[in-house]
Amino acid sequence: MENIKATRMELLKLKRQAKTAQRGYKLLKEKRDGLMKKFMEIIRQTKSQRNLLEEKLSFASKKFVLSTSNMFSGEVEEMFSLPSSKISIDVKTQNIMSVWIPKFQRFIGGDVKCYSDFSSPLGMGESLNSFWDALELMIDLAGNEHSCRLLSYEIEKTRRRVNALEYVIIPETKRKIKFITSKLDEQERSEKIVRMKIKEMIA
Amino acid sequence: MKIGILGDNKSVLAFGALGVETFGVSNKEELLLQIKAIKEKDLAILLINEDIAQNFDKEISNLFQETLPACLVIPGINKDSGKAKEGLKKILERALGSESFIN
Repeated sequence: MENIKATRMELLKLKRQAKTAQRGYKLLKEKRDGLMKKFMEIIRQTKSQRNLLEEKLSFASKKFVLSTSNMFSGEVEEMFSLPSSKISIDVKTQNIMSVWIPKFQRFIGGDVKCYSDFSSPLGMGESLNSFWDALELMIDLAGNEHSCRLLSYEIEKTRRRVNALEYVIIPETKRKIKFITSKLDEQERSEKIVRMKIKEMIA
Repeated sequence: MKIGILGDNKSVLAFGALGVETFGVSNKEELLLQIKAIKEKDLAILLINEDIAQNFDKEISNLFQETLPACLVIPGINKDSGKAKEGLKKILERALGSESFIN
């Protein structure tokens, strides 16, 4: 409170600041609510997809490990050196309250089978098929979870800003304004008394 | 655009057959090199093995903050440690302030 200059200039400045802070607070609060709404929409879907994927993938990778356990990794790599499947993904980005989130359009073609049955272990086909099954889900989940992550960063930032405005900046400015107003009023009263005194002495 | 997978050499093998680009790593230096390679490539989705996500948290953390590629932590071959699920929990916690808000 000591380092505030109790002048009319300062008061005007602070009043302007308070108005801006109030407006910013309102806007940011709306932004937070908007982000939250979108986040909730996506997160529910993401959660169930995640559980499903976890199941599918752990099953698939267990199968894969078992079937390739007696091969060298170089051999396996060689076997898959010419994949016949074609995956291409179209990416569109979407702007939600200044957060850019990706939207994927997937085109999956071809076949997972790109090796000879004679040179591969028995369980290979089954395990690769389960990976192939999970692929679609993985692409969807990647988009959804990544969007959630990006949104969550923004929500955190916005929430901090809203709280800082609500609990620190706005009360502080209000207190300063009150301080300056009371100081100015005090000055005015004392000047009035002085003037009255002088008038009395002259009369 | 394409999909990539980042993981230890053994885990990424299966994904090679699916037409996913593989980035196999076995130590920290290789990981840093591969991350550089990933950034230069135009990938739409990057799958990250959970062992990598767990052991090299710091190195890959800035991959998560970009719009593209979209990163997804997937369970690995060795064990399901639940680290992949933890990522989702963290997201919830960050956004809501508490994870048990919705179930």
